[in-house]
Amino acid sequence: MAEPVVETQKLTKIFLDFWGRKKKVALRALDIKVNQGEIFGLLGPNGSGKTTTIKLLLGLLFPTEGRATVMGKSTTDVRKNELIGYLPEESYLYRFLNAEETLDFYGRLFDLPASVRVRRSQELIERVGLGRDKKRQLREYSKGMRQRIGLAQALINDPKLVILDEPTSGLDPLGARWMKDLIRDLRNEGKTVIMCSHRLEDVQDICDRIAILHEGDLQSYGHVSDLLKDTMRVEMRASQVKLTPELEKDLREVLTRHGGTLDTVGNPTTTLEDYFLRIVEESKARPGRRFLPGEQTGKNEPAGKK
Amino acid sequence: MVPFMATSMATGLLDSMNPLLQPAFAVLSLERDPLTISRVLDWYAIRYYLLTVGSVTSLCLLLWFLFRGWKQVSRLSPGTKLAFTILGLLSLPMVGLDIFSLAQFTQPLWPNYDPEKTAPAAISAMMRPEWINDVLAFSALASILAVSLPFLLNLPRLSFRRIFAIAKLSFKEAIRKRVLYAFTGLLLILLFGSWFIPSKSSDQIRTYVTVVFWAMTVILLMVSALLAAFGIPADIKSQSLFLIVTKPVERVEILLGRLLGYMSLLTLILIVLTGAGLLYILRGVSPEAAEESLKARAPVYGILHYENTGSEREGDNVGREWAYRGYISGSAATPGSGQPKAIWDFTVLPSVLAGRPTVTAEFTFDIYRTTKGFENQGVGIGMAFTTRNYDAEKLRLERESRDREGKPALTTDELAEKFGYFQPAASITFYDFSTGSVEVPGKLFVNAQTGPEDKPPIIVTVTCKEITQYVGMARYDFYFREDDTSRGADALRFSWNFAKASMGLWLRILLVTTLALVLSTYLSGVVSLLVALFVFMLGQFQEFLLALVIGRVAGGGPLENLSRLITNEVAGKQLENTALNNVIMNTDRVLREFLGGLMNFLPEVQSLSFTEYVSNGFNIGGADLAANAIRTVAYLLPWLLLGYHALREREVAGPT
Repeated sequence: MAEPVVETQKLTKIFLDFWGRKKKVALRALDIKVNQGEIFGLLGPNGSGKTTTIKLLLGLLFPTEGRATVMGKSTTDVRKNELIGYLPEESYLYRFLNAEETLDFYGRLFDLPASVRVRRSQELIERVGLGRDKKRQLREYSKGMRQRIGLAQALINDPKLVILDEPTSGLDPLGARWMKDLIRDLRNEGKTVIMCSHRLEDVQDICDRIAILHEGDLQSYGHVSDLLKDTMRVEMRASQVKLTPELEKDLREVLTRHGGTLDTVGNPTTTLEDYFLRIVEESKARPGRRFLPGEQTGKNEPAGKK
Repeated sequence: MVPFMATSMATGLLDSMNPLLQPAFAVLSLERDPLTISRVLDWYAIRYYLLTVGSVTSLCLLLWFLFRGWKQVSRLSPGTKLAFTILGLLSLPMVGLDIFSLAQFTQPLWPNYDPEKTAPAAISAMMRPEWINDVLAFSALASILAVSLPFLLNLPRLSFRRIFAIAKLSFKEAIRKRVLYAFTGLLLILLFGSWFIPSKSSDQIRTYVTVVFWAMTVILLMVSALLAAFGIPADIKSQSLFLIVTKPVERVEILLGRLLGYMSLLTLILIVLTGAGLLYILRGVSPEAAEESLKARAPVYGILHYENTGSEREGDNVGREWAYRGYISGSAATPGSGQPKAIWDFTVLPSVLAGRPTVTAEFTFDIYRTTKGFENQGVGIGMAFTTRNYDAEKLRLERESRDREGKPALTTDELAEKFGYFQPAASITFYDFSTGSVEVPGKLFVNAQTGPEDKPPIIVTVTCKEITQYVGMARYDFYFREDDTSRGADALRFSWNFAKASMGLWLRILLVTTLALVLSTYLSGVVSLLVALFVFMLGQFQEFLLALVIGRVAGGGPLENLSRLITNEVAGKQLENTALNNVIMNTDRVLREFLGGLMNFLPEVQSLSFTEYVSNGFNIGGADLAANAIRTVAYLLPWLLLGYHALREREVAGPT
């Protein structure tokens, strides 16, 4: 079996006050493994230890107890960073630089030769859709644009492991969708992605496996599909048929025969995100179109698995 | 401070004098020998340096071992562990010395302590046998290497591209954050300074040089301290540092990159300001000022001693508060004793002097009058130049023989070349604090080139010719000029000298920038700024601190002073011999011991200021500058090591 990209053993972080007294247990004996080529999600409410875990993996914090390895190297070994790309929650980039200068700067930190830096910078600027704004200083960028250039800097070294802290935070639905698609693309390119988020729908959408933390303790850990599967319930979808009282009655009878009960039946609804995106796409396709009160916008399609 | 005082005092004196009495005023008050590279790289200097740095590194090793323990070492690779263990064991003598020194510092608090019988720690250190100091220096080196080991192991991984990237970022950051606006202050001084700077025509260059350097120093040092103190803390606060340390960047690369970036910017600014300052000073120079200061005298100094003053090392004390000069009177102190003399022995003379027809000797003495004398008339002094081959008896016989044979008297050149003797005039009149000069025949230097090795090549003897007056002199008040005086005013040499003074300022900028940067790796921006400036200022006032350490400050140490403040005792009065007073004075002794130890860690700031040289038209020695540069870099290396460890050991992220 391949060596995990990230492995923690009893990883613990306790913050101390000035006098060395225990102030807060941020993480307690965390044991997780992240495998190559998967999208791994860290979930939990605020203060649960998600960001602390990421900071420990990156060497921004030192563990109080336990250990963690990233691609077989200790987290305090800076050489591990050669294969890591990191996007923090907020874009902590230098706002007096423009997009090109930013990528050139971070490229130099990876000791990339000038030709590689220039090529990758241009590719990434195009990939994150900032081609027209590459000469503007970042102070003039919107939050979404800063998040895009932040992601570009995380990819400048063509990393094997990408760590994303709240990647969709502060992004509009379009931006969030773009980010999620890009994360999936990264996985398809063979990269491993660790992301933490408290936007559950994002995590459910794209993560293969997750770990749920609460007050520094690992509460749940495994494949998303396994964790969410409810074996005591059955869901079915049907097409080419209309919902009528007769159909509902027949269904109830069938289920009773099998020892079950019909809880709900009705027409499915799409997600608000899908609906919003469709409206925007339609608006782009037909400029000048206005919504009139009473008009049914778009077409309700059954919500399907994406 | 002292050169500044000297200038103020002298300027005050000049103001009260008739302008006609100021043909020249080239006084360079020095209380130290210009540094030489051999003095800085001398084994004793290196050993002292190793012992000083080693005392801290060995203490750090001890504390690290006590608090972190062997567990940390056991995580190292086998090779590193072995190297660390060997170096750690070799450091043990220095650890022992640390413990011994700490115990010695507190000895005034021990029972049965007798200040008369117990030598202070610094004195007892000087009394150690040489071989013990050599062994300790070796141990100190081991402890320095042990502390530097992580850095040395990282060394092959350092990348200039990364350092340059961070340097470029720091450079851009400073420019785009409009730091350069601070220098408009200097522009204002240059634009409108002339309205407020009074100067006599002969003082024009001196005053302008002082003002320009003062402004440059204040603005550049403040900007460098601000830039360096806030760079890393701001990055930590804004979390921009997260994105740097999560790249394959060694922490020391951040430190070096920041230092390189700030120093590049400040160097560029310094070059521009030096150019602008020179243009400002050199526009419309009056002939008097050009004659006075538009040059770079290269003095050759001798060693001063006295005869018939009671002490060979000191002249008479006339009660001046500032005891820089020793005095000789015009008459014997006691009947039968000889006339007091000030004698300069010139042990090293540049060979170029022997090739010149004449060599200029310049002198600047102080007059202490016991009678009013004649208004606007100077005091007469006698001056004789002799070489190591001079034989008074031989010269007397030659003169007598010539008289008998009716031959013409010996010419000045003959006297100098054959007999090694030159006397300019029976009496030379000079004026208080003004520069006099004598043209000495070059033949005298030819004569001095060979002769008995046990005698100095040239001896200059000065006597006072007026019995009611005293003439005061310090070692640096008399010198031969190595530079060619026939060229007169020389704007090019002056400009180069001005640039060399800027290099001295550059070293001070380097000092402040590095200190602030190193401190900012652990402290907040404001605290780093204050501590860096405090250390710099302490370096500026080393003289006062030394006086405090050796107990020469009126009123005693801090606790004794506090006690006097409370009990309303005057400073000059001896404290009563009570139990409380003994505790106070002995605690002060402990504090003084610690302060004495602390003084080893203060920077040499005074010797990096060369304004006095330029303003008075004296050449700044290249060796002096180079030696100071070596000393400054050597001083900063342990600080950089401290910064490296502080940045390496700290968690750049916090709980949130």
